[in-house]
Amino acid sequence: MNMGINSENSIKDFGEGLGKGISDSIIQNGINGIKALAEKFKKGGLAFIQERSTIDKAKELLNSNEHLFYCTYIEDKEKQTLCVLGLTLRRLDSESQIERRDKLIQKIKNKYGINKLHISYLVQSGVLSRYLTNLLENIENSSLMKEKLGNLLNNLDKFVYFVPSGLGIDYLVNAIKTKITANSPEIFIISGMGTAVEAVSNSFNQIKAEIFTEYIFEIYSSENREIIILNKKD
Amino acid sequence: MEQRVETVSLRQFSDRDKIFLLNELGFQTDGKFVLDEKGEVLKDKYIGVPVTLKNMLIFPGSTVILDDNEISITLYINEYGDKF
Repeated sequence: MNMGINSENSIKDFGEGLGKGISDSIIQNGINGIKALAEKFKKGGLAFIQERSTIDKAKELLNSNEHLFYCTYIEDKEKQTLCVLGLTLRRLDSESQIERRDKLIQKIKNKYGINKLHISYLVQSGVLSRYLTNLLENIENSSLMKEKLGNLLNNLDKFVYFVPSGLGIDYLVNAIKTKITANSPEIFIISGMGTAVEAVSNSFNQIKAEIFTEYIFEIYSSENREIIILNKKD
Repeated sequence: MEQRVETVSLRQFSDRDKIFLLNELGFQTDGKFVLDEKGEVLKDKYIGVPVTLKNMLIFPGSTVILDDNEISITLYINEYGDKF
């Protein structure tokens, strides 16, 4: 492989993040310019990135009020990371960066597995923040809150149903009924996003009539999501 | 206070520039993947995927070369602190 460097203007512009701290002479200086950057890197003064916006986004979400709120009640570091990744998914959704979002979902699934990916979904969809609000209104003891939250996150398949798109109402109602009958949970969450919103919304009255005599329910609706939280009556 | 590093975007680098840079830092490439000093394909330490010339990040901390993705960036910041 020819690894020779064409010193004629092989470096045009270092792009984002390069302040006046690195002089223009380095930029113009081809191989010597790269050597200078490499030396600065070795001294710990530089990082080579792709898009600065990706770094800034990660920092912003790690320091966001929502993430810091989760960290108050979630002590497990891995779950904290899954929460911030859920915020990232939400941000990528809002920016319509669908391809990047889908790649991130696949990477989360590959690294952590499908069950833990669901924790990120819980955050992405806004379910976790609403669930925590629900807990805050009903539980004063911080330790008990952590315990209940931990129980939820460790058993998502028993307590949360992420409604897939394209599901018929009867199938949806039966699926929910089966889960609740099997586990009799104190709390159960139904979450529909995007094209599943209509299914959740349309099935609500049937769900209410058939299943939820034992439960008090709260509904959170927006254009792109429908969340129903059921709390078992005392 | 954490000492901040300057950031340089590799988007503006030609492949030859990237190859030269990697060589200066003690690494190699087969044209697609980054190779370590032994000539083996380097894997992102956080998610285990092979790091490509096209998508690499080079962060300080005894030279941490990663794949450009939000998991690796987040876990790097958690481990090494916010240097950016």
